[in-house]
Amino acid sequence: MINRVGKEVPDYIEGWGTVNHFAGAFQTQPVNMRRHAALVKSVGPKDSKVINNLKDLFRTIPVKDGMTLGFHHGLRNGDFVINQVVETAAELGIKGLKIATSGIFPIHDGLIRHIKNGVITEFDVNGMIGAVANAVSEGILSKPVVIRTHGGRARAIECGDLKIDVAFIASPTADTYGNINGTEGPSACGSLGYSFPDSDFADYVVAVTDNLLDHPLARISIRQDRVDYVVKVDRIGDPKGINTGIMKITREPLQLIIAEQAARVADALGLIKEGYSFQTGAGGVPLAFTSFVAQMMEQRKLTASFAVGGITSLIVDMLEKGLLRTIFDVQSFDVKAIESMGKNVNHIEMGASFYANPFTSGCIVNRLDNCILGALEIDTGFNVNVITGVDGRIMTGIGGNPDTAAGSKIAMVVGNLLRGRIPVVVDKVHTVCTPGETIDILVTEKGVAVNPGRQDLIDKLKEARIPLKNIHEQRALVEKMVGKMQPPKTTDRVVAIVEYRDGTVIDVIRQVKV
Amino acid sequence: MDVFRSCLAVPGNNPAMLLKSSSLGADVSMLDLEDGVAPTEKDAARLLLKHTLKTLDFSPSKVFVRINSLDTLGKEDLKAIVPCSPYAIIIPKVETAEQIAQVVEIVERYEPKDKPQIRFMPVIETARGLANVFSVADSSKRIVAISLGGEDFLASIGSKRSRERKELFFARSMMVTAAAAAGIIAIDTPVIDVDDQQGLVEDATFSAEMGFTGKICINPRQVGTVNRIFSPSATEIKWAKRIIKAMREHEENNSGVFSLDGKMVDLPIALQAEKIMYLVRNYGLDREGLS
Repeated sequence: MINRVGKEVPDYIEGWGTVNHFAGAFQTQPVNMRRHAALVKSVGPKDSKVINNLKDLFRTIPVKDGMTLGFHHGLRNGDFVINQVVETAAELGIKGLKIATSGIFPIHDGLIRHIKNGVITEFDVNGMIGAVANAVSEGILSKPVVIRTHGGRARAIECGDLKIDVAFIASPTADTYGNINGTEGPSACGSLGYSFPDSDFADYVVAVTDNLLDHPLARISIRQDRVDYVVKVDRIGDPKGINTGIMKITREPLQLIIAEQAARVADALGLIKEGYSFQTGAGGVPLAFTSFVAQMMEQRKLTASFAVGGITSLIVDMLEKGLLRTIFDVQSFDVKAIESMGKNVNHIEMGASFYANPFTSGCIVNRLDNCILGALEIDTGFNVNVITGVDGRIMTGIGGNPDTAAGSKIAMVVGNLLRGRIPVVVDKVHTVCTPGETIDILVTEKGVAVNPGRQDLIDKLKEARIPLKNIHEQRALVEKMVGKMQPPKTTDRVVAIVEYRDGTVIDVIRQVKV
Repeated sequence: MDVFRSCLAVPGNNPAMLLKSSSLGADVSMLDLEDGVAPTEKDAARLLLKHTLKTLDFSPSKVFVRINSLDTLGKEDLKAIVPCSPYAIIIPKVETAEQIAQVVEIVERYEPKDKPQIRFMPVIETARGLANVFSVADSSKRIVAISLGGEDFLASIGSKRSRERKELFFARSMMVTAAAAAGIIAIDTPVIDVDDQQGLVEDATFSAEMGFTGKICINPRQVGTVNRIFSPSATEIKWAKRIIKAMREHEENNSGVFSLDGKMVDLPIALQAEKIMYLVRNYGLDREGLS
């Protein structure tokens, strides 16, 4: 059927089942739904949790064919844990595993071998980058990959849609009784927030660490009463792939112009005020936006209430200058953010459910005044694609884009009209990830487009003399510059399902023709 | 009278920069076929610009194309570019009015009759050019501005560049005077060190005080500073509005010269106020909420 965002989605998908179609950002609600319960276990006073290696752990649990193994992507492109675990499974002859992780990166390219030999048969992810994403796009798996939002993954785990048998938590530091933190050790990554749902709801929880300390840890992120086993390995990650040093503001003039305009828009809408709450992110424009907002707050002697999401040094600077009261950190993007979480009491580590799970008694994105989002494509209905490229292949992840757009009062997409020579503003996006009804404003180098559903914002921006250029004008402009892109050639076979945060299917990704 | 503040140099052989240039806030996108393009890239740049001008909309920037000098590849450049009707042609290394006449002749041959007449901005880059700047500035109705090429000029007189740029004082004075005499504007030479923001502020402030209307920018990061310094300030705009309002009231009463805040308002003061409001309208400062 053609769904609410104009995409043709089958009613039944092989390997997924009957489709519950997307009905609107807040239309699907939990009815008589209960939280899933993890397996209850007991550890006695004389029991040890430490296991010498992954093979022994696999035999102890035991890990069997067809299980779902959970991971987090806090170590990003420096993660060794998924590779080590899957390699162990392969050595033990285990087949048919589902890898449920918040992210697959190029460092995991070697998993293709284990897809081909049947060790891995399914993926459940928030995003995929690299050779695995490419192979999935070309149809390497018989079952479609499920792509969920950050909040949607937490919801799926809590509600039992995504049942994790064993959660392998890459742990920068762990003690011998299973307490974990992400701020210490050679592979420190900061927040472990994306693994919190796994640690609460998986049947078995394993801390995989290269920094095993005596019990108890001084700083505890994931608690011993949720962790069944601790495995010491030589290395869990490569720091070069985990963090990016200190993030710096872009010097790219166009990005600075867009960021400054976005900050002016936020100001014109009355958002830059005492108690402002925001999520920005780590791209060129969002970082520069944060910097402009920080300058405004400093000049006007204002203090923001909180910042959420992926945290950067710029946000930490705001906290340390007294321009921001609280940071809620689900992912620490650079060294300064990692250090800050270890020392600043109001830099709070949060789990993915607290962050963005729509089926809870209130996630933090609901309290956002403003979020700044990126897009690979945005269409004239303001629908956003953050997954597939112009060739129809999976390029990256959905992340928290739909979560923050739905939660915040003003959701702004910012960025250049062109990626290289590829238009960003189009008639119809190839993959709808974030529905247009939740996007309020687009800021590009050519002007500010407001969702026609937000006449209140149009009026305010006109009054503030912000130059408006509607989204149809922007599409026409970019089309005149580079022409219209041909839609990618695909087969009918569904290789990935894009799930909205409420568990409905908002779009599907079809196999690219090679 | 044409006015503009920032004139951003964009290499004519760089497609990415050409795409971006109109969004960088410059009043003029100066698409370069001359010094910004390597000799081995000149033909490619000319071809690229020819197609770019037919395809891309550079608004709100005005498009100026800097051709090579006529004794090198300038004639080839004009043949390719003039049919595309850029807003203006920048003519480098101009030394005499005769050179302008030569360009006029070629432009008239290739210029589409149904499009606005192409304007000129000659660049003075030698001692001889400066000596003839009055006749050059006055040599054609197409000339809307003259510009100083400071680096080449200093080389031609055997001088060295200092941070204070005192060695350019005479040339700059000549430029603004010649421009004013011809009823056009003068655009100042760029600051070469693109990382020296403080130097840019000081140099642009000085050149604005001398009477230049704007400045060449060789990096997009210079555009915002140049626009700000060559724009009337909020205080000046407020002052100009008060003067014009008071003038209108006095005109209605036929009261001639009058005073405001204890100071006499005569014709030069009135013209100054009108010039400020002319700049406000041209630079869209009223749209930006500064007026």
